[in-house]
Amino acid sequence: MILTALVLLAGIYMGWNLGANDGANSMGTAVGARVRTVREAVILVAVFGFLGATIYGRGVIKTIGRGIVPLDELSGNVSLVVALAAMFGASLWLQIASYLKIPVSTTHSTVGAVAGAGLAYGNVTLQWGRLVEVVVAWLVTPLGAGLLAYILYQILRRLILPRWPLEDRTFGWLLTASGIYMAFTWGSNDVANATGVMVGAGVLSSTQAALLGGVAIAAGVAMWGPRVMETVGSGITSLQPAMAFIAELAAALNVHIYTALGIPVSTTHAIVGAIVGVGLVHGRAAVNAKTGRDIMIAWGATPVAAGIVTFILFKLFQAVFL
Amino acid sequence: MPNIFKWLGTRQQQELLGLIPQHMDKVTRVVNTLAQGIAAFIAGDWERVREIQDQVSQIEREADRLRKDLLRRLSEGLFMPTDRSELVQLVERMDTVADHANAAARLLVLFNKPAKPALAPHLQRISDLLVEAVTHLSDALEALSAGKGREALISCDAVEAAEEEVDRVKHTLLRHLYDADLPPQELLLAHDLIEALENTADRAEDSADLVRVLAVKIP
Repeated sequence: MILTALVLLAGIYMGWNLGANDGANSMGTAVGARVRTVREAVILVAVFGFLGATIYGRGVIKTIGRGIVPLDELSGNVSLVVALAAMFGASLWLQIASYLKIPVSTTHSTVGAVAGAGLAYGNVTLQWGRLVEVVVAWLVTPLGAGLLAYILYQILRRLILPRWPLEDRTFGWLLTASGIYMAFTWGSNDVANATGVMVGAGVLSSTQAALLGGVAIAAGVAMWGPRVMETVGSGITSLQPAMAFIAELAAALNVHIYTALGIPVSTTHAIVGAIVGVGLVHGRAAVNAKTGRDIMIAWGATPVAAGIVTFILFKLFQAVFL
Repeated sequence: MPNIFKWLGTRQQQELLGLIPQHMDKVTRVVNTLAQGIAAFIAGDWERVREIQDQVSQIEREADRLRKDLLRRLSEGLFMPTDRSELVQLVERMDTVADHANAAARLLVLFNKPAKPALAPHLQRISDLLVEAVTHLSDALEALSAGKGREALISCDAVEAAEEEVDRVKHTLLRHLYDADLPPQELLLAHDLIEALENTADRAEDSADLVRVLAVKIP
């Protein structure tokens, strides 16, 4: 009972954090372009993030829950301890990264933590083939989003706008639509970070996990999201509405494809890659080489670091609970 | 986990904070060179005063170029510093320190007589205080870019103290100027020179005020 409760609490906390910090990525640009107020943006992200999680999140939940470490093949308490170690390990690494002011991906952290917990237990076979697919997807995500954004933005600038010039008002609605799509795909892919292991450990069904994760994410967006939304929308990016629309559309399409394949990817990677792509059309670097390098190192090291932290945590939990 | 956009904006900010000391270095050199000019003026070495004025103008132009480059960087890129407007104001205010010091140097070459004995020690004192003020301002900026907020605040207090002392010395100088019985043209020049020196100190203090704001805002 205690183990189950702890796993549930850890998942809710993770979901809340996801909503609190990452929700702003979907609508921050719409707020910054003054087409949506913070209040409107928070409501839209909470609603569509929840819908994405509940309607479309089950595929990635299954991958996290069973596709990397087959938690459903482990005995009751063992699977719970593995799940608990993975949740705590991922969250702990995220806290450490936050303290060190390193930008890391929740998805990378979660997948690394799950693999780390499985390796720590030892008596289970990691699904290396699936893990390799996931890692390849991580590498392709920012590149794919960037390329797609570049192409779409060129089409918009060179073919569409010269023939059908769009008013600012229209872009306002387009930006809202792309923000909604992004919130939906973000919810559908990221809910697994909060509740995937619960499904693997048999605590919840995938439907229940999607619902619980969706509620936790929506709560995080509603309670903490406004603060982050204001920061992101307060001129941190100098994206024009057209650029922001294409960047969000490209990122969301990318994440949608991987969600359909049941592959957990970083929505942050996708949006940063997409912004770089639209920036290149104007010859503007979204990030300089040093910053780009530091981001890559942080993202690359995260699954390993989260795995190591979780490995150690599992050994501790094993001694206490098993 | 820090939001990626905020992280990128903060990163841009840190990079720019690392560049601002280069501009400050030019501003410090302008004021230090002006101090040499004041010493030459007190000594009546007009050749040296003219040399110094040329040097001050040259360094002030270099400071201007750096300022423009910094402002360009602040406006470029897709991720902006979170405190962009304060950084712009800081760069602009620091530049006005160099502007007023340059103005003072240009006035020095218009004199053809050394300073009256009653005025000379106070002019020298103001000169020393200006050097002190920009040195503390430079220390404040260095501490700010190293993330040492408390040290930055202490240095800003020192800039303010130097500026207040300049105000007192200026008051004394004006009193002596009133008693000096100078010809009108020389009186006007002397008054303008004193004003330019005081403005230099005031702008240094204004810059320190902004550093205080950033020291509190930037973690």
